[in-house]
Formats: sequence, C-alpha cells, structure tokens
Amino acid sequence: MVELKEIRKSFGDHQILNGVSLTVEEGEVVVILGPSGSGKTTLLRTINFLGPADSGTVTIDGMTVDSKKHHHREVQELRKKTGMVFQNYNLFKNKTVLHNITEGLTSVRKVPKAEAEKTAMTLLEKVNLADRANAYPAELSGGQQQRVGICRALALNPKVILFDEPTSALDPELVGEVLATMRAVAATGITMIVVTHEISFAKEVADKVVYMEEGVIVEQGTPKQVIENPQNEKTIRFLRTLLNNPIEYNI
Amino acid sequence: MNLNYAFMISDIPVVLKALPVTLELTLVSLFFALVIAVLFGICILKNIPVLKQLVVVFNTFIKGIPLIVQLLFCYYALPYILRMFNGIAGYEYDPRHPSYFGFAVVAFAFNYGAYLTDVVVSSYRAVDKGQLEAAHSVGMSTFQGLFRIVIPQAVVISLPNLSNYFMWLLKATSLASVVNVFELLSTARASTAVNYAILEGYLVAAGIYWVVCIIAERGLKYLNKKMNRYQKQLFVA
Repeated sequence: MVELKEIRKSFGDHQILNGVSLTVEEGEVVVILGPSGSGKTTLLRTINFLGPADSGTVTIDGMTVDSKKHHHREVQELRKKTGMVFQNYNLFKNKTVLHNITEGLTSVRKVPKAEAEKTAMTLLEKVNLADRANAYPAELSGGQQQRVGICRALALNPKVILFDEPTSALDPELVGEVLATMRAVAATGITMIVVTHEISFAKEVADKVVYMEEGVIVEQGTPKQVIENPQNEKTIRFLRTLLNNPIEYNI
Repeated sequence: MNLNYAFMISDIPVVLKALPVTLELTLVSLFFALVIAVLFGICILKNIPVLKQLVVVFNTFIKGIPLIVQLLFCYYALPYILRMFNGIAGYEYDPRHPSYFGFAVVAFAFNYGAYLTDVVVSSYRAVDKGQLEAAHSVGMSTFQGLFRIVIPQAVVISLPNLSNYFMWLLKATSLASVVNVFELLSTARASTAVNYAILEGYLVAAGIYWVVCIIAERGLKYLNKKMNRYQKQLFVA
C-alpha cells in the first residue's frame, strides 16, 4: 500500500533522514516512535510531499513519485490518496466545521454540495459533533478541533491517513477523546501511519511499531516485539526513559 | 467672533455638490493603490530578483517625499510624459484639457500603494503557514489553497489597517485642491468668493469631512466585525 525507499533529507548541513525505507501493508496501523529530533515528523511529511525528501521514492497505492524530480501534478495526485491530521489541527479558520470537511470534497473531488454535506454530517455524528457543524474552529476545544481534523481527513476516503502527533498539543484531559476516535478509525480497516508518544496507543492499536533515531529506523516489528521485548540498545534506552522515568533531579 | 451663519447654511448644499468628486477621487485612488500594492507585494513575497529590489527602493523613495510634492510633480510632469505618447496607438494628447483628476489619482495611487504594500505583505505573512499545508493535504493545488483559504484570511487581517488608510486618504484628497481638482475643499473656497466669508467656507468643508468620516468609520467597523466573526471565541471563561 505505502512504500518508502531510501528516503533522505537534510536541512542545510544537518542530515535529518539517512535513507529510510518502510513498507506498510493495506489496512495496517503503523506507529512511529522515537525521541524528539529523530526525524519522525519529517519522514511523515515526505510521504505526502508537504516537506519533500531530497531523494528516495514514495509509492502509494501503485503510484510512485520520485522525491528528486516530481511534477506538481504528480504530487497533487499522490496527495489525493492521503489524508493528514496535524499536531495543531490546522483547521481552516475561516470555514465552519461543516465546510472544513466539505471543502476538499467540493473543490477537489467536485462532489455536489448537498452530497458532500451529507457525508460530512454522517462523519460528525460518528464523532459526536453534529451539533457543532456550524461553529467556527475558534469556538471549539482542542479535542473537538482534532476530531474535526480526523473527519476532514476521513471524508476524502484516502488510501492512507497520516497522523502527525495528533495529541501532542492537547490538554491531558482531552487526549482520551482523540485517541478513542483514532481507535475507531483503525477499526474501520483504513491504513494509518501514526507519529505519536502515546505508548499505550501503540501497544493496543498498532499492527507494527517502528522505532526511529537519528534519521534511521532502528527497530521495527509487532508492538510485542518492539515495546515489550526490544532488542536494540537504543530502543531499550528510549523506552526506559519513557516508561520508568529513571532520572532524578536535585534542585 | 462674528460668523455669518446664514451664509454657512446656504453654503452647505453648494459644497456638498463637490462631495461626489472627493469620494470618487478617494475610491478610484484606493482601487489603483490596492492594485499597485498587490503587484508590489507579490514581488516582495515571491522574492522576485531585481523587481523586489526595485519595489523596495521605489517605496522608500515614495515614502520619503511629501505627498503634496508628489501631487505637484504629477501635475507638472505627467503632461510632458503624455505628450510623448501622442500619436502612438491612436492616442491623441489634448493639451487644452489636461486630466487634473487623473494626475491626482496617479499621485495618490502610488503614494498609498507604497504604504499598502506593507499591509499586503504583513497580512499575507500573518496567515498561519499550516493553513496552506492543510489545503494541500486535502488535495488542493497551491492556487486553490491561496484563493479559497489563505487570501480570504489575509484580507480579514488587513481590514483594520486598510480602514485606517481609507480614512486617511479621504482627507488627504483635499490636497488635490492645490492641483486644480475641484473637490470639496476647493469648491468650499470658491464658494466664498462672493462675500469673502472664507472662514465660514472652511468650517462648512470641515463639518462635511467630519460627518463623512464618522459614517465611513462606523461602516468600516461594522464590516470589520462581520468579516471577523470566525475569530470570535465563544468559550471565553
């Protein structure tokens, strides 16, 4: 379904991605873990060319685009196969909740307005936000905005949805509702690639966990293999800091 | 002070007759100023080599020279320039009827265009970068993203600034009285020729400017509020 080959990217002298290759099967939920600065988000953004890689190829649903030389038409076609959920929601501020979801359908897919609104309302009902359809994003809580963000991605019926730390900007008490929504999305069998720090989500929902550090994939496998029984020293260290909090400060 | 009140009242309709000229001068100048500002803004935002530097230098030049000097420059220089185009592409220059109104529009448009360039650039930059990324993520082209998502937001951001410049320009058009445009102020002055009630004439002009500005300000405030509705936070505790 999704195949990344030898993805490399650098910002100036700083090499962010050092040849990452990753295969994601149809219907798989892949969670990418790693310390900050490991290139997780950068990798995710190379998939839909929001931040294209310097080299390497991206294949989605049989369509391959070379990062080195790509036409913007190709990129647009590739993006139509993906949906994205952003860390800070990025809902269209000047559009209502309903129109945030219908915008892609009407202006890109040329779906008739009434039909697009019906699709949007069905999705909003599923995430319990039907009553907020005519509100603007600024009137919603972070958790509500992110649920709308997920609906916006789902509405386009993409082959794969990319989640870029969808809960990192949320207040702790709002994380649950977004994770619950993501679980429901995973249950529909859609392919998902998720960058997150939510280990428990990775354990429960992921089919595959990928651990990245310094721009390379260090370890990948089932959640059982990677999280409960990590082999690589780097993975072990990362999980230990995340789970046990071993560092003690004296102030 | 002994003001001729009867004259002032009778003078109001006379001066008001020139209000359309003032409004026309304001709106036409503002329109061309916006066109210039958008074109200049694109040069700066797109970082177009040579053009960007030209725009920056030209704008400092315009901003560093008094508006009235620019009006006088256009008044004296544009006829020469137009004469050079005489006979080209069927254009015929008529030296007996120069368009003083047009000359003033050129001066106002470039002067305000220079200031509005900053408004265009800063408003565009004020829109969150994530908005265009989100537009891309749902499959929109950059063109669609700009016109459906980014520019509508930039327009709303620019509105308070734009309103201020509009009010400023409305009053600045009175300077055109110096270059033979029969707008509100020059009409007021001319109307006092019969009885030399010059102060009364100016007071009438001042009163009309004031009322027009109040109406314009109210209108713009309402527009601003209406366009800004999506930024309202209903959940303010």
